[in-house]
Amino acid sequence: MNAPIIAVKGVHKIFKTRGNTPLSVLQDVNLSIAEGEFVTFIGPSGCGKTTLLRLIADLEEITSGAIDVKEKTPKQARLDRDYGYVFQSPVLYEWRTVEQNVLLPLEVMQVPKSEREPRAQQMLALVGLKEFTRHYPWQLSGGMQQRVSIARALSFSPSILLMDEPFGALDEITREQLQLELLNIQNTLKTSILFVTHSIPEAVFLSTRTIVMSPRPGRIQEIIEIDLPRPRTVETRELSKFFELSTRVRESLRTMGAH
Amino acid sequence: MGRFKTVVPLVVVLLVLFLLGYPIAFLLAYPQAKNRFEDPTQWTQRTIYALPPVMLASSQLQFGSEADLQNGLLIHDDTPVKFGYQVEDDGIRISKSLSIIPLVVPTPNEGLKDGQNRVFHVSTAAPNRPVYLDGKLLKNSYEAPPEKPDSQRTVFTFSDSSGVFIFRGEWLQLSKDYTLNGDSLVLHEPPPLWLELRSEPDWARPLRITGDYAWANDETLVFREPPPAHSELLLAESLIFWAERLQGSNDGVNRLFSFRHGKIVVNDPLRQIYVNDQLLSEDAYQVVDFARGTILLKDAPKRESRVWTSQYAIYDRPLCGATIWDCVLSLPQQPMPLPHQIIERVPAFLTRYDFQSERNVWRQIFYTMEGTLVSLLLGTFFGALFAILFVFYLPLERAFLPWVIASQTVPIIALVPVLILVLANLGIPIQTSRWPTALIGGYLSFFPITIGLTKGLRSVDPLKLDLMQSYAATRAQELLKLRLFAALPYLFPSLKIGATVSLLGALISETETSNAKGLGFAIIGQVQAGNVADLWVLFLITAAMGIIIVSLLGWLEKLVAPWVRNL
Repeated sequence: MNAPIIAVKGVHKIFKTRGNTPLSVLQDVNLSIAEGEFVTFIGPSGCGKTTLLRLIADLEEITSGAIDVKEKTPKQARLDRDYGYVFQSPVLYEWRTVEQNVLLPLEVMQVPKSEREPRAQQMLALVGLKEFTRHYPWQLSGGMQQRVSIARALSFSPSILLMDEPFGALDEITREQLQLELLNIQNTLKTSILFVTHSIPEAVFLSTRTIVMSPRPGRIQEIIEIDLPRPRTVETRELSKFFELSTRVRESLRTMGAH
Repeated sequence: MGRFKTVVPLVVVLLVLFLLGYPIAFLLAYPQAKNRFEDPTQWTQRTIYALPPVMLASSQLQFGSEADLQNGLLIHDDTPVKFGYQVEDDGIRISKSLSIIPLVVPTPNEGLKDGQNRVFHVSTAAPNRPVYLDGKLLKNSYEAPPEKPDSQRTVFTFSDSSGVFIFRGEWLQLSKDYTLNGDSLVLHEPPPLWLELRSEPDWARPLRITGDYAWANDETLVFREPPPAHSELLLAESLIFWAERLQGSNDGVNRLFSFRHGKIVVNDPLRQIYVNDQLLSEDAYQVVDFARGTILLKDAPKRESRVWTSQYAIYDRPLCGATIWDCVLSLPQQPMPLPHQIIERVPAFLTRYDFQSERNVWRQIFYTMEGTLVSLLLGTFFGALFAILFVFYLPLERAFLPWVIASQTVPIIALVPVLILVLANLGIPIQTSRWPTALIGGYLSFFPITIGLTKGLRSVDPLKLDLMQSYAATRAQELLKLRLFAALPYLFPSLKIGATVSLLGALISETETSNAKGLGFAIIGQVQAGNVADLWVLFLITAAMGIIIVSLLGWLEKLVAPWVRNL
């Protein structure tokens, strides 16, 4: 087996807030993610899922422990542009068109000009927004905006995609549609995806492994292998195995509530 | 709606100007106008004649019948009045009250009416009363010598020597009493009784009668030609007045009485007040309020008394107009001009086509506008510089922000001359250079831009910053691709403030550089000339400029940052 693409080793995260007692968010988190995996993180609010993602992305500093991203420090991985990050809200730049938003990382990374536009077009085609390149974000629906944000995160072909409840604010129909599209994209690009969610069906449907986290301080409660057949389709949701796994996740979440 | 967006503020400005301008201007002008309105000396005089009731009470006045009146008893402008009056119980009501109408009554007089005598004495002292001979008004005309007589003088000079000379009530006879030497009258004897000059009235001098007669003294009438024998000599007994009843309580206690028609003339020597038929002496009453025509009697009249005035004339309308409002309008110099007085002046400004002249308002507008824009650009440059430094290096803000704030508390009026002096010492020709304007305006405008842009550059959605960080963007990229755009919603309001203070700075600097250019110079000129209305027109122009600049910036904002209103 190859070296894990992400290895989290005994990570602690304590937020020191002025005046208040230090807040322990993550406690002794150990995790190893292989290349091409689709890992979902699920757990109650405030269990540190987002924090863990931000630590991997080097948007927060680790208090103790270590994270290896492609056998580098998170900072080096960030500087090497190894990951794309999708937030819960689309975080589009209002002054840029859809296409310009997708071009943004390419501009920042100084990708040669001739390569930028084809890449942006390709990504927009992948998320089904080819016709909306000249639109401004406010002219799009929430689902379309989130697609733009996914296209943007993928535009520079990162090997890892960090997604922080990207579909959390969307309605059920759009959400399921986007889940399918995301799986297609992963299938096409072979990107490793770390996906934070609140939704049990979403976690089960998308991932190869679901990591159930306990409430604060966040620890890994259980890692559940999701051995549903791939590629996953609309029918996957109707398999009894899907319900079984969903029940397992739900029970795992419930047991820690009994602590 | 969009089409009217630029018009609406201008309309609002005009509306506010008119809605607030009139009351404010009126309130400011009110004390002065009220003064003019109430000051009797500022009133037009309308003569009202009143007949003192005492005249009617006198039984010797026989004009109870229409025939008597028609016989020339009432004379107006040398003509007997036949119409325009009527006799009533308590006086003669004259509807055509235009000027003094003498009442002519037979006067007891001494004098031989033999066709020879020319000197008549009348008992009642009434100088200057009109004299009628057989119903004809005679002309009272005389000439007094210009020199003042003294006890030794015997020679008096007249413009021409024809006529009849009278002296101390006696008419002089040529060759017996005097001789004529050219135009000079030479008395044969020096006047003997003129040692007490101080008490000598004017008529004691030699008089030359040029008309029909002259009064030699209070009681002596000298005719130029002897009246015909048995002619009827009549004197106007008095002036006829339309008696005016004063209003006041007749309870035997009240002493205050008011004139119905309003005002009473100040210091009117001919005013007579009667209680019933009794003429009051001047110290028996006092006028307490000219404006309301109120007098205070020394003693309260008995119950049911009638108080009359022979008010000779009243001031019934202020010269400035019928209402205080008219007086406000007619004030020569108002503290604040009325809105329409300002608007009236606008065309005169805007239709000046002498574009070669530095006094042309369009050139002044252009000059000031140019200065404003240069200042704003300079202010924006330095404001942005400070803001960017502050955002990227916090200690710099800690160190410099107090200085930035302090800079704005320096009184700009004091700073301008200092700055000009400094520039002059640096060898910059301040008369022609735009440096003073640019520096003052820039100095004023950089502050709001620094504050607004600092805030704007900091007010970035943290997730957008995270996104940039995830791309491993440099700080320059972060600034150029994110912070500057995110700051635009903050920049434009600051620019709008900066633009207005730039305009202010341009105007102030123009008042000081004395190169006779720009609206600032024009304003100072009008201040010195005291043209308040023109000054306000200039205020309006500068206000309009401010509105235009700000709305242009609003338009630019929509063009540059169209997403802002969709946020």
